[in-house]
Amino acid sequence: MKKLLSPALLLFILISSLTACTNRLLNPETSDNPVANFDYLWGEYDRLYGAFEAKKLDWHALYNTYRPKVNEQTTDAGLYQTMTDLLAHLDDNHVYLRPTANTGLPWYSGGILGRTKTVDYDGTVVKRYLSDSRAFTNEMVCSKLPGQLGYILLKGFERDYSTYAQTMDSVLTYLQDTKGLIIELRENGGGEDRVAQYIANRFATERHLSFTARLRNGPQHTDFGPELRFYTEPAGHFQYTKPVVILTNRSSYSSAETFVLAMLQNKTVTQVGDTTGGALSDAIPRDLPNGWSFRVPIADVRDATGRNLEGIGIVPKVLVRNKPEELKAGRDRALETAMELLR
Amino acid sequence: MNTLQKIALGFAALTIIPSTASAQYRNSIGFSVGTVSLRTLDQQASPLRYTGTIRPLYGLSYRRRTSDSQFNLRLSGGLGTMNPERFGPRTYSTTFDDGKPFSYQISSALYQVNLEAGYLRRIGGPEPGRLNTWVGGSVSESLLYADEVANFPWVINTATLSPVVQTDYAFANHHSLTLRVDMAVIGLITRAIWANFPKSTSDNNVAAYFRQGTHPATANRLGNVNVQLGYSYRISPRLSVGTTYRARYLNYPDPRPVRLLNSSLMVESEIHF
Repeated sequence: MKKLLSPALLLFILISSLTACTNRLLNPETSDNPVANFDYLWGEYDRLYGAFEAKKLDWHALYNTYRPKVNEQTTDAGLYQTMTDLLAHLDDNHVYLRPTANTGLPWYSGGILGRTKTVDYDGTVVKRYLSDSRAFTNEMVCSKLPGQLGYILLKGFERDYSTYAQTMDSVLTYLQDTKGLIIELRENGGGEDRVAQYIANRFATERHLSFTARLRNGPQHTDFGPELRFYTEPAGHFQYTKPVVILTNRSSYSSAETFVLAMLQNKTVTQVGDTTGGALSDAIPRDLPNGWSFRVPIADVRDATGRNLEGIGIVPKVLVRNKPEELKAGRDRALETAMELLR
Repeated sequence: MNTLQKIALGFAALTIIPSTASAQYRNSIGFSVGTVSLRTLDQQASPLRYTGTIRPLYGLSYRRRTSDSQFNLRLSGGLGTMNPERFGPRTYSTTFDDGKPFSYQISSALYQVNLEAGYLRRIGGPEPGRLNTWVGGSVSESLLYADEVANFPWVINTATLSPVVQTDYAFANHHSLTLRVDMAVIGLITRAIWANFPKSTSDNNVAAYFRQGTHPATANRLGNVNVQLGYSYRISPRLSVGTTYRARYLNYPDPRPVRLLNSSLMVESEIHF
């Protein structure tokens, strides 16, 4: 037993020493006080947000406006209010701020979707037009419409990329006897641009630039990495080249919008409905020192002509805004317009 | 009989195989189990210090040893959890427009895999004594992955080449201590890029992460130091048991500084053949 005391003691001393030094070895973490939290929030957007130039936002001026409203005595509610007032200037659907549940404070969502409710779309109304519905994945439900038309409810672009080739083969085979197709994006939650581009490529006959994206990679608002160029071009074993209408509204944003940009490179595609949400960037979640969660869009995404559409959206060729009373009466005018265009 | 029982029976069987009194067994295979404690402040990922625990961590090793040289191969891995030191798991709740409540919790899983190979030569007198010093080098591959640091995947991977100094001290019959220090002089480190997301037109996220986030580094930028203290007791010519404490310190400045302290305490057994 005596022989074991020395190594045991040595081990204890080593572990204890390292434990005591850990804080010094790791550096101090950011303090959790109202000022530090505000500065950190502002600073993360300053480092990472991709649309300051496109939106012509003076982020430093906004710091000078809102920072004086925060001090060491500011409550969680007061801090939340000042932070959301700051973030409102971004007017960005991707932006959110979520306090931890123990604060009892509500979630903040930015952009037009944070300010307004969607009142121009009701999936239950659309279902009344459909027949022979079949779910191919949790993202793709296909149906038939009168007049030999097909309908794809496309809910997102989030599954594993490698699965889409087979899924699209199955979907397009199911719809091969249709003379036209409607792709529904008014319930689309976004996802990955690479996936969106692949699906669009299953409708392509020629190669065209669809959109570009650059990610922030430095402290200046104009610091971006290399431009990524996404192309619409034929992909897969076969393509669907008959007329297609894509249905959009303000809820169609993020990868739903890059999908629209990609699809519109195909000559047989028409966009109907309302303007899209105007938030095309990728966005990443972040921590605040107080444990709250927020999200920062990190990219500068542009259409094929070089326009940045953040806060603007993609305006459809055929603008149709359903009224709530029409939906209440069981009628989706945007869908009916799409069907009429395809007949 | 489950797998662990079979392994235990195999070890027991090996220990009762008769051996000659003067047999020198140059090879050994080892099995270890233990616990990992991780603390990190990765300012690229979060302003919060995160702590992680892996319990159990499993290890397998092979060693070939002569009086003047030794070759070591070690693989270890495990799964645990990782959360901010300040808060632990965090919950976020809301009520949707239709009145339905919704909440989710952020609490990250933590995965660790290490693979190391090293070769050492004994320095000093012509014959080994109670105190022996070894020098040499090792190559090491280390992967840390957590799925929800700031509610986002977090990966740090290092592949390093390090000189090693090791001292063995047989302080009593059948008892020995080992102290080992190594420090990376060159390596590859994979971290998140500035934007924290590796967008690509062609690569999947994993390939893009490694392709965009891997950089060579030398000791002036990549601080990667390992200290190891071990105790071993030779039960028989065929079997030894022991315990090893390992501490690793990692420090890298880009795109924002990361500092990480990873320590493990393992109980080990070795079969010599």
